[in-house]
Amino acid sequence: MSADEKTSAQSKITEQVVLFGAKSSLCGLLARPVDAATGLPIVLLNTGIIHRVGHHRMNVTIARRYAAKGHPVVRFDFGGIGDSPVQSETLAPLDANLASITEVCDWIESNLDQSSFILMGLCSGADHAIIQASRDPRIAGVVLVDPSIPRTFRFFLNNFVRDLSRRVVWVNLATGRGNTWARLRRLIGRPRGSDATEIRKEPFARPELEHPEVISFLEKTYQDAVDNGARILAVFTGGHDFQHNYRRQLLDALPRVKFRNQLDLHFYADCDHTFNYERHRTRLLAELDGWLGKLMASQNERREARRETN
Amino acid sequence: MSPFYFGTPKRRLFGVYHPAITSRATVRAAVLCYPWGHEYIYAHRSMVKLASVLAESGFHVLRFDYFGTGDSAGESTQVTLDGCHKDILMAAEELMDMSGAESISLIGLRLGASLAAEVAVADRRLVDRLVLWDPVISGADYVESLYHSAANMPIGKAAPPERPVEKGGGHEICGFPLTDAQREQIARIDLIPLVPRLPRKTVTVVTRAAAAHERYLAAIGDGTETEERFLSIPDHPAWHENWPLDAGTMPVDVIHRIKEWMT
Repeated sequence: MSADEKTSAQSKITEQVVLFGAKSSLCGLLARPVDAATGLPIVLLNTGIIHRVGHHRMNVTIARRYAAKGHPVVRFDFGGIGDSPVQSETLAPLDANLASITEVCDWIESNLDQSSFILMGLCSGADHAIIQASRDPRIAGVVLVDPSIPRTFRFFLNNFVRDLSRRVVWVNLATGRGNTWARLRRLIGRPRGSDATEIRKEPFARPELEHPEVISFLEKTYQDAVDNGARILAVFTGGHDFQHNYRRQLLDALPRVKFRNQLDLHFYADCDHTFNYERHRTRLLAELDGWLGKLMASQNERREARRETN
Repeated sequence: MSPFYFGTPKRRLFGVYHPAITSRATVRAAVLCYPWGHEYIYAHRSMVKLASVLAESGFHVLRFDYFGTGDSAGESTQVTLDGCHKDILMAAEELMDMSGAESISLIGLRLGASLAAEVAVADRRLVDRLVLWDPVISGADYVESLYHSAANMPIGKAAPPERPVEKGGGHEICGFPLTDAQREQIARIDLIPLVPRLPRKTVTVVTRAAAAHERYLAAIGDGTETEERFLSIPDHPAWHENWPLDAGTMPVDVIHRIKEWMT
């Protein structure tokens, strides 16, 4: 879409500030079509501590694009992020944020007369989205980009095979440098001075996700979301290859979840975590277009069926 | 704080007004001018903090997004420096209306500092105080640094992708389009010739050494004990992030020094 086309799309929508929540202090922006809405409302969630605009202004692009296609779209900041003050002194941040999502959905239900919603989130936003969908049957769909999932046997195998093709690994092996040698020397009690810096701390990977209790929690979360009727678009990127590195990892990591036909699963190997490049954002938007189209078609079919039954 | 839209139907701007929490003998007001692109994203948190700190010290503060940035209307490719100057003036007028102040202070970060300086020079009666925080002194150097950042992102070293000519050309810089026209406008920025015409109460705050500082320091001259002109404060650069090591880190020293200087 060129700037002119985008401007023309913008003229088909309105944007207004809304202060959500019990304290009317959750700062949000509602974009919606000038004409009557024809699509389900979409709620965009924060990524980490980045405010509602999103990396590379991506959330603004998404909001305006889908408002122009008939969806009311809300972007808002969780408490303590962007322009929203902390909402609760007593609740843990996750619980406070989930309560905020509920408040936003309640506002949409009261003010826009819509009772089903789509949640979209990247990274921590995706984690919030799926947990909310497991607890709120009003969530008809979730778009999860790089949600947190455990690593699997195949993940480690893929990593090992990938490492075998890296020249630096063989050079280190031959010269006694690198992680593996440093660990070995430490194991036998003969560390070198440089070993402390050789051993990478791997600050990005999250081994805690592999704890059985966490896996059970995630399986229940995903299962409850599916049982609540939520359709899931899950997109994993190669940008988080310390945590996931193949398309079916979600299925292998959470084997007891019965996704039925409600899961659309994709792996963008060449794409970074925050979609720095426009071509990657374009690919994601095309995916969203298709998935939303299918979701809306199934919603309309259900509505028609209900009408015929009545 | 109160978020709202202002401006004209063709140029709707998003702003957040922080009313003064304590009262002062005279009404004081400050407009914060954001940086551009990825620097804007990283700096947002620190600018919110600075606005809150100033409001607690009795300033009425307005933060706002230029047309084509943040929550304001328009596309990233529609940002022009002339447009940003107009937006700063609109924000200043809006804040004076809201607060009753008769003049305003401008506090700009990075490209926002250069824009604020240009506005202050163009309309000398409007701006009573000016804070230039890690300002872009040489546009050419800044453009070079943008391309360097884009080629050395944490996701890997790669030349910034070219953008199609029919969409304004240029390149993608850390997730944001920088069209040929925008690059040319930014490259023309030169703060040094403006120095003699800056408001008398102007301070430059820097957290990182830059090649242009020597020339700039020569231009602004030495301050006096009572009139600081150039503060070098070793602190985290609000507009830069080295994820995850310093994600969300705010330069509290700088924020408090700016508050002290303003008050």
